[in-house]
Amino acid sequence: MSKIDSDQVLQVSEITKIYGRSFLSSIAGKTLSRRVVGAEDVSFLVKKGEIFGFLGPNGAGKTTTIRCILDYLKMQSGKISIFGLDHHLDALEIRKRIGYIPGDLALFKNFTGNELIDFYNAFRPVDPVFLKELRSMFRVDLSLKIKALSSGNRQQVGIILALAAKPDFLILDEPTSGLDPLMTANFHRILKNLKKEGHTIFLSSHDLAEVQSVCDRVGIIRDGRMILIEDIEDLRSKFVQHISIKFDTSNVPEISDFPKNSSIISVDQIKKTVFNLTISEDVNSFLQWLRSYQIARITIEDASLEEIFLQYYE
Amino acid sequence: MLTVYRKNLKKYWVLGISFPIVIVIFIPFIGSLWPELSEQMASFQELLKSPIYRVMLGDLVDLSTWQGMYFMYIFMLLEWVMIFATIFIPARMIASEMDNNTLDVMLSYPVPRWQYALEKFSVYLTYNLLYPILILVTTFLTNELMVNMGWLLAEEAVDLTLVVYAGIGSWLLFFALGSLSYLCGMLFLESNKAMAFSGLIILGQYMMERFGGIVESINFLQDFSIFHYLNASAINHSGKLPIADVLIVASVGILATAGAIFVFQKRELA
Repeated sequence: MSKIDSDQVLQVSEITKIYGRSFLSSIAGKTLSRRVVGAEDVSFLVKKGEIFGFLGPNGAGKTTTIRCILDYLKMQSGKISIFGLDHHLDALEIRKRIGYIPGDLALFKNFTGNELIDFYNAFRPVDPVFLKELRSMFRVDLSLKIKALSSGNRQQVGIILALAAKPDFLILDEPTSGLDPLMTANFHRILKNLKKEGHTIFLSSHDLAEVQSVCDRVGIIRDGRMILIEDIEDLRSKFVQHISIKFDTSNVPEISDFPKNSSIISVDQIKKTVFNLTISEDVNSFLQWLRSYQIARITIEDASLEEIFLQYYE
Repeated sequence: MLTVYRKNLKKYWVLGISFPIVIVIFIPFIGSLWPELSEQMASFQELLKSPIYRVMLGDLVDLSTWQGMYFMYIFMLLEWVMIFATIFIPARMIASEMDNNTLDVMLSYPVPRWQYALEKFSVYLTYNLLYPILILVTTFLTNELMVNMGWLLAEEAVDLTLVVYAGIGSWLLFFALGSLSYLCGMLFLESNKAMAFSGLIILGQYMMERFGGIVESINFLQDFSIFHYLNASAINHSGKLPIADVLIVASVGILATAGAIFVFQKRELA
């Protein structure tokens, strides 16, 4: 495996990708078809040995950015370098050192998992020890044809293929979609181990919990624009949670009884005994207060990604 | 080395061998019918002067001899298979991978796009080699059998040199038409559109050749049809392989293949 020789594994500088600008419209000097902004002035860098989370709702521009990085899409402007190499001119050299799981993973259906590993091994040789480890961690039967596998098992084959060569840089687009919680946990463990060994990971996801649990830094993209790049710990403090509490009828507080704590953003009384609260990450003081009441039922949900975005716009 | 080629050779082997086998089965079949058909075919020859038959079969058909009937039936059948195969197979080779998203993973590996496209197309060309090879072998065996059975005099047997010439011509036509179809696949990168467009081009050329041959005023259209060149009946009629036709058809094939690979190398995979 080649040595990583730079602190910056990926550098994306002011890339813009607009769909719908065809060759003919360029000649005509005007837009003949509807323009859709895929990415606009997107810049960020991924440092060696980190797991960078790339967050955004569907259609935000995550996959567009990834496809630009992989040189599948041509940008209108901007520059991308990977390992200090130009992503277009040195594409082949770069691909010797990367692993990729696409968001919409599709594999050759008439091949078994083992045949696919052998096939791709010819292009990027696998690490046999790590492959053995991956085989033991994932429970997919690699002797079955891809068409006989469930979508979750296909995803596991895709993960094994991307990771088997133990590449320096992994680009993962929604890698855990379709995986059960156990396999997801295994996958996260593998990512953390790879990070410890100095591998770099670019993880695109719309799953906050996943990004929270494995990433060091996160970039949030919305409507094709990067709206935030932050350490995950800093972002965590900005998360809000929704709590629904049903109190026992014997002792129900009034709205005014709720602590005037800065962590409570809002309190709504839905029924006589049921309250909905929006609360920031620090819930300890609120839970302390709650101990003096009898609780019939309580549910806690993370805020949606959209709400976090809204926080930034407020 | 040639990993993509070997993988696809394995993937398409059933499709690759089935069409040539279907065609060569017809050789002993029509050979077995020849003793009974020979007299009927001589009288049928008169009917071939009808414009309708000339549209369907071309105007160089001679059914009064075993060799004439052999060339007419086998190479006409091959022509129909060629039309079907060239419209549907090369156009879909890369486009279907785009439809299915399998290119996403494949091209993330260090394989140049031009090499990937060339190796895939080489599989198509390899399987098309089976047509002339199997036809030649089966014709030789059928000839021997028919002479031994006394159905044919040795001098009436099919001239294998002409079969080789016609086989080379057919393979080159598969190459040129397949390249045009492959180019359509690269331009659209979407199976349905690619097949529709390749069908338009290939069937259009077939019509130009056939109707151009019977209507004097549109005779010039034949020159723009690949089917006009390296025609098996014309090779049988002239007894030689027309080098000018070889150059024209090969040039079209090379240019279209190069164009297809260039387009695939340069275009984005949206």
